[in-house]
Amino acid sequence: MALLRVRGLRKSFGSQPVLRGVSLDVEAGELVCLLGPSGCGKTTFLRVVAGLEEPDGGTLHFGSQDLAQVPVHRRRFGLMFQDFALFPHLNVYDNVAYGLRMAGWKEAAVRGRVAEMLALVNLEGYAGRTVFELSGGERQRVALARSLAPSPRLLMLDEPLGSLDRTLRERLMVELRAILKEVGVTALYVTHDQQEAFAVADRIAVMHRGEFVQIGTPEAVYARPATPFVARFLGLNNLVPARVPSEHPRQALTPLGTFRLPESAHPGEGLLLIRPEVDPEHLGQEGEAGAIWGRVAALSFRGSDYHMELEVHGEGGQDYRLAFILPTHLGRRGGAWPLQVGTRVRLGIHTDQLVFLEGPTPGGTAG
Amino acid sequence: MRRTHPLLYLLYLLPLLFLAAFYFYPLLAIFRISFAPEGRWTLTGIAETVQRPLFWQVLWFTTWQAAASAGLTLVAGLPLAYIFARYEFPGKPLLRALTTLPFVMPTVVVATAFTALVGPSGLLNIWLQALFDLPRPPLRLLGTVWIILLAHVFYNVGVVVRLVGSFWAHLNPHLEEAAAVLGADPARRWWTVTFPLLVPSTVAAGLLVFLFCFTSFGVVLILGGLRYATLEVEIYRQAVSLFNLPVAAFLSLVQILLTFAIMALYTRIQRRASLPLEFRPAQGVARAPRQRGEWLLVSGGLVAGLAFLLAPLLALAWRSFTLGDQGFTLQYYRELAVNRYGSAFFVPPMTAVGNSLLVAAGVVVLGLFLGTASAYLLARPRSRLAALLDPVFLLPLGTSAVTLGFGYIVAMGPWRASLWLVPMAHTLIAAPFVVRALLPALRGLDPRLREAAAVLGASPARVWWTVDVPLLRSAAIVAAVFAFTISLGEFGATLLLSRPDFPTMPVVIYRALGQPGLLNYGKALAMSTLLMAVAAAGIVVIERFRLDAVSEL
Repeated sequence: MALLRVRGLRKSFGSQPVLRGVSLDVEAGELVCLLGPSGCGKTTFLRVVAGLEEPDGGTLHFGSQDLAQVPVHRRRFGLMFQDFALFPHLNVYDNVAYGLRMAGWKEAAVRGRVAEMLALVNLEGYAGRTVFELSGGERQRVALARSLAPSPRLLMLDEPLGSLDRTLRERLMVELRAILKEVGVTALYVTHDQQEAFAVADRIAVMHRGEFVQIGTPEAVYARPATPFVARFLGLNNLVPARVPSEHPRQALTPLGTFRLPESAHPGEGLLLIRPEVDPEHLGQEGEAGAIWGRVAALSFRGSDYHMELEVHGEGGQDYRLAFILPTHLGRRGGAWPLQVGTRVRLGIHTDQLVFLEGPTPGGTAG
Repeated sequence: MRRTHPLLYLLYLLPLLFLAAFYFYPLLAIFRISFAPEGRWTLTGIAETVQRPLFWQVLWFTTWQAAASAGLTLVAGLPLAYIFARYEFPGKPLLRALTTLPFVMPTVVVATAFTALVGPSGLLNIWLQALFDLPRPPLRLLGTVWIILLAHVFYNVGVVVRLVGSFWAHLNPHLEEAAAVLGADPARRWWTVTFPLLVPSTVAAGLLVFLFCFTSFGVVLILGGLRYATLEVEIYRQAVSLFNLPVAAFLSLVQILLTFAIMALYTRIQRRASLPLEFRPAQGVARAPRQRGEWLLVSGGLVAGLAFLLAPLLALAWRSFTLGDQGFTLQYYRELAVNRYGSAFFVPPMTAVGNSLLVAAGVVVLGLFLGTASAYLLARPRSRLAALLDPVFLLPLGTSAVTLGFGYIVAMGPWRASLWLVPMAHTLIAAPFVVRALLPALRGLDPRLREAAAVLGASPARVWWTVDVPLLRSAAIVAAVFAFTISLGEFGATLLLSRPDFPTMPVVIYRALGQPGLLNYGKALAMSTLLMAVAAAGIVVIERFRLDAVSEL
């Protein structure tokens, strides 16, 4: 049985529903990321689990304990706020010691635990500093140490890297996962950044308008987005309206031509997702799933790769703009870089690049 | 580098000259009279004063009543501050403005209003007598310390709501929530997080209230009767009733030293009370009350607070129409136009309205002119002179009005009876408010706007006219209204300086209160009601044009 069990959780602010009956299981020691755009309800989910907001409906269980009657300060959970919420009137030591003192620890034991926690987050020697003397990254670590110090049964992190700049964030997300795994804490991690979620999570729960639309491992979610929303949110924007005929369930008919699917799909209307990663072998070739013909509309050099936008003329007169990523070494291998803006090119498509997303297709991707 | 036009230096010089002539020179005169009453340096006068028990009684009363007032004000104001900081409810801006209403009320109006509410023929006494069929008024607060404390609380609750409330509103609610998640129950959240964080702003607000009550004059003079005297009242008595100038001068000196000490303490704490930006919530945290308990707290607190803040003022207006036995009457308003005594010194009360308006208009013009010049001087970027002068321009705020008036009397020699002294004193008292209203707007003015206008071909004068003036307009309106209402209500200095034949409204009210008879009391009520209406209109204008950045005080 899962450690944290959330069933049918509902919450509205005024007439605005924020959580529409969401359910989630978190196993002991697991690190689950709630991923979604701002306003999707992920922070509210965290606050309800923490006990800071009353749910309108649904149940929350931790182990065998029903959390409904347990007030926030008795849940023995940890919560790290996006703005860290370090107590400005206390120094680093007293911030980290706060939860221990609330739990009634003896001062000698507090001292040992605080030292241990500061060592864990690489802040030895910072105990006497005021909060004002810390950099953003240091504050983040103090907040983490403070949350972890009382050994919470469940640690929740609300955009813990959200207020830091990009480079610092990329460094810290790896470090953060290492620390959480070292401690072995069960954790719920909220973020709107898919890279952060991929780097940190054991499992990802993608949230959209108060509902979980897909729950799975990072690799599974990225490989097979469940809905067009998930695909777009992960930055996979090459979506073309498609139909799978019942007589050929492994074929997708699109305005760009017919493509062979990696496996049989449920017949009907939907969107075909074409992944942007291009195998250099397939430039100018026919792929095993098919090919598209297009004109290079934009090309930008990004260092390790090129971003290419391909303008493809579809049946029915509509033009589609698809984005692809080509490794830079492509040019080195063939001597000269083969593509320029305006070049017409054939691009072979592989079956592992394709995912058919069922359901009504509002728009698809165009221009 | 742009050179400053020599004429501008002259403009900068004017407020400094004004300050020297109408602030430092009178204080120097007080100092001289205190230490050298007959031209020779001597300490005997001071030694005599210090040895009199009266001196210590006055000092003791001044201090403890100020402390008690500050304490009671905090008790009354903190719950309201909490409600305004953390809850959203209909009519909030209006209600917040109402809490400041007493603060802009002239002291005479407040004193008169309290007599109209709890005085012998006050509204509460009439109701209680009618309700329980009592032969005599049951509330006998007039002339006791209780009515003084009550009036002081009434006056200053708005200060606490504003100062502590705005700090509280900017306190990140995540801090309390973090404490909750870490295992702190509600009581411990308050004692370990919220309360320690509120202490600096609460102490600062308490100290400010203490300062205001320490120099309280009109309230104590009118409501306290002969038994109670603050330093301020005693200075007035010694100077005017007993004409004991050296004693008055020494008391003024003690008063100045103590108020400056409190001011210095206040500024230090105030600086600590400002929360760094990173500990403020990104969005506003006030929300509508949700549970029943919250609704009860908010509505109960607001009703009680409003009743307390509006009751005296409503009682004043009501009694001005219903005093006596003839029911609703306009008699007392009509009386304002009549000169009952026909004496050369007693003008019809209505002329006092004209006098007050005339003086206030003068103060607005002079105050805006000098205030603008000072603000430009103080807003000069990276100017060491400006940094040095900044606190100097605030000094009049820490000097009591009676002391100032007394200083003019002893310093101005042959001009001591000049009609000009009253507007000068008012301008000086209003100056810190005018400067503080203009300064943030001026500092916030992006210098690149002026540069852009200049590059686009505007001459310096046109730059000022097309960039500075429109952008400073609302701040200037706020400053002007401050000057106007302060002048209209100013009592302490005016009482000492105004000529009998040129009284202002507060002075006429005070005189009418001091004379026996229902008719005189009715006139005081009527005149106070008029003054109250003007002051209330003033706060409406201020609230309308006040930018959030303007409230630097």
